[in-house]
Amino acid sequence: MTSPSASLPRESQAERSRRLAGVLARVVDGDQEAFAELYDETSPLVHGTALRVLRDPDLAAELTQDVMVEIWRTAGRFDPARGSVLAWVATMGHRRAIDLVRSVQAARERDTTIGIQSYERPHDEVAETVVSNEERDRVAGCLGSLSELQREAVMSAYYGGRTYREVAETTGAALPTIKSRIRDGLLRLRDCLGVSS
Amino acid sequence: MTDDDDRELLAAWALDAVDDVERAAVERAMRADPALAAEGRALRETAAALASHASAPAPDATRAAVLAQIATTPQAGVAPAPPARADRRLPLGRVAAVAAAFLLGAAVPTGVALYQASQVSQLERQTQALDDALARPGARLVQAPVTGGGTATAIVAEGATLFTAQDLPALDGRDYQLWIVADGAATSAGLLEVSDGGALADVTALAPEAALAVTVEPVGGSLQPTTEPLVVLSAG
Repeated sequence: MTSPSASLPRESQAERSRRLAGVLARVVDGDQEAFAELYDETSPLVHGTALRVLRDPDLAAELTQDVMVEIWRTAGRFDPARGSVLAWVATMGHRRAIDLVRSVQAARERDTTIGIQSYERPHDEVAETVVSNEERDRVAGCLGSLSELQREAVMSAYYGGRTYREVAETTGAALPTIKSRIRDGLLRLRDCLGVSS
Repeated sequence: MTDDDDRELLAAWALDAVDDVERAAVERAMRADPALAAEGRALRETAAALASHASAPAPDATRAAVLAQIATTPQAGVAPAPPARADRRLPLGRVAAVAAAFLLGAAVPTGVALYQASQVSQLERQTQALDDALARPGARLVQAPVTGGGTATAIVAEGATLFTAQDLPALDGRDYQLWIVADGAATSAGLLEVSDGGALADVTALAPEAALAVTVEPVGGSLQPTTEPLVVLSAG
């Protein structure tokens, strides 16, 4: 087995994207070794997101397992016309985490009539093993190019698993203001990262 | 919802920061507008960068468990056979899948091979939305026959209500319109997009004493119901 070329420092986003599409094509053929490669490259992103959103290591690990098995099961349905492999995996993972956190919230609100904020903790309390790499630094740099309010809105929505309405409630800002902050922030992030549409 | 609203919500959609109703609206708009879809894809890629940014390796035990599990898990085909045609008396679980299939038929261009995969994932998402609604605390199913033919079903859950109908007769030059009725007043919940007799609509959270009603209206719908309801589903 060759060592994953992900460890090569100078692989561009486009190259990585094409390579992962190739790996996924082998997964579709039932290649379990290719799946292990895909797992190693994409599961940290699923697990890290789940940790941020769920703030529970056991749940995050469980969700990662479910999502990665689902990736194996439905690999044949990946459609390159709709985006990259990474976006496909990230979307599936984040969506699952959101669904879980929202159903837990619904249950809690119903059972105890305690609102969202009362059991929330700051994200930073989560113990994370941080993968340091170029991509991470690049995203961090681009997040730094957002205004404080934009960054807060985008991160609160994505990592906090909140709807924009909940972000508005949390921050006390008006709905249109929050919608604009999320939109302007994500657009600026897109431009900074050089994501083409 | 106007195009501007959809564009306005696109970023929130890409971050999964919208509710089920808004998500459905944005995705409908994206299917109809390739430029909007392209922008949505770019924003989804951007959201994926946020996921990468949060990367944290899963425990080794998870890797071992996943690799063991996939060794015995069959993979789903690229384009599975479409769900069976609706039987009048659907088992509860099938309602979701069949309703989703109907919606699909209405929403996705047919005969384009490229769209096969997205059709399937769209189907999965819709089925998932219905399954999720059913799984919510206190979720219950309200069902009643529709005058003139067909069956209407509402899944009423905490924070969301989904309306589906099967076997509705085709209307010539008129539309089915869905209403939320509360305190003696009716508010339009939109026209039903009927495909092959089936329809599916997301309705925002219904007040416990509210009801859903369907009437037949002139093409494009009415501001207030102009005919007697064909069916009334009570949320309470």
